[in-house]
Amino acid sequence: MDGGMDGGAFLKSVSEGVFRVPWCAACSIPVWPPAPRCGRCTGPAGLRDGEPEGLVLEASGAAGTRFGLVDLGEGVRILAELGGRAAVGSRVRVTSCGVRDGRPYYVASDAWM
Amino acid sequence: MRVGITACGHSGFSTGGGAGPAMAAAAARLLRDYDVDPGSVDAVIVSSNEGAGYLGPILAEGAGIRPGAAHRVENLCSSGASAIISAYAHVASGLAGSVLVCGADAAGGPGLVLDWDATRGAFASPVYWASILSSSYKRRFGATAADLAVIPARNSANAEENPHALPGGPGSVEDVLCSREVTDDLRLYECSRSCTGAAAVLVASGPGDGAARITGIGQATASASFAGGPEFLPLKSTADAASAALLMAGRRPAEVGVAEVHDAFSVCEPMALEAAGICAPGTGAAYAREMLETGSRRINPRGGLLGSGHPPGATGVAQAAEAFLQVTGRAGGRQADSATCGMIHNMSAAGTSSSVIVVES
Repeated sequence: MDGGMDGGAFLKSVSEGVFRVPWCAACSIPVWPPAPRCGRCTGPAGLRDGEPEGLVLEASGAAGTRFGLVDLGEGVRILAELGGRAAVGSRVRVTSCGVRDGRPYYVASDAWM
Repeated sequence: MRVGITACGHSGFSTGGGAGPAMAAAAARLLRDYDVDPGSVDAVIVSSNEGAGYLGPILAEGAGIRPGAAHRVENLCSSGASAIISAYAHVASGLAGSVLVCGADAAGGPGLVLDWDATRGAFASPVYWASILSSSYKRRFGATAADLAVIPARNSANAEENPHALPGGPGSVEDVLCSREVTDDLRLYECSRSCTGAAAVLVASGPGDGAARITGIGQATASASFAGGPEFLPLKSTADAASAALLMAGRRPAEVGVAEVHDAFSVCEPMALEAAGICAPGTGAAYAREMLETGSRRINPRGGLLGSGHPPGATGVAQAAEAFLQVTGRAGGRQADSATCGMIHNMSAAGTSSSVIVVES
């Protein structure tokens, strides 16, 4: 490990616009932060079907963009751009994601409801 | 075995130059100012995030030291305290009688952004986690931007008595509030400044008069990622590390007469003071205003990171050097009252890990 990001299949899926939680089927736990293998059993991490719903824990903004800490459950949390009218306490879903300049980006919004 | 800090040295903190020359200057000043024979130094530990390797032996050769161990410790912004704790372990175990610890980094160098952390998404820069913490603190405790602006103003005023500090901090609370908006919850002067600088301390066995005994150490690592970990509890690592350090020292938070806390951003100071038990929850910002009004130098007398600048590898060592000067009564114009028991708090990556050291005269 060289300290660089190694999100494996997760980042590939994100780059295709689909946010799916890395998952170890053997241990039944998310592999988070994302990694190619489970840190507990070292087995390969797959991607769990379904896009998770979450809760905005905290929020701020910069240069007209609102962002927040989103809890997607089971210890999976992200810093995401907040879309729609999402604010602290809102139920949200990752409505957009991708990879830009080598980093993933996530947009969480309440607009899907 | 009694272990303590017996000497210190600094380079000036500046916006230019390299980590190597700063490191050499800080070590040379320690050896010169405290009349330390290079032949008496058993080990050298460098704390740095620099990309260049072999910094321990390089420093030793330049300083005329022929140590046994010479290596580097890297732990982002808390590299310095981590290196001092490693030196303590060397001395306490008998592996070394004295260890030169020297921390150094250059302006704009690595060590400020954790590229590995995918949980941060597009918000990798530390200003984003700091903005989240600031927003959270305001929401939970009703603190205002003006309340938090007192912290950089006060710490910058303290730094005026620190000859090694990076110049150019805010002159007043109004300066902070009128500085450029970085995020909705942070102004420019609420962010510590990356700079070039170095600091050195000598950690030795059997410290006598004029030394600062290391009486407590606590370390805690909650996670590496900002948004990962089993639960989201900001600065929980600081609470755990401070509790452990004070327990080891047999001290209560109220007995801490002087503390250097890791104010990488304005909100970090009250959060750290509250996590360490020095202030009650939600009162840390008001305490900063009280200290500003009374002239108390109990917290961050050298100016903290906000007032002095923040070369990540050097910060924890500079904090320890200040605590050494304070508890031994050598801090001159920035001397805190009743500073016989000092604490340093050094943390990394949004406070996901923390190190706390207690020193006493």
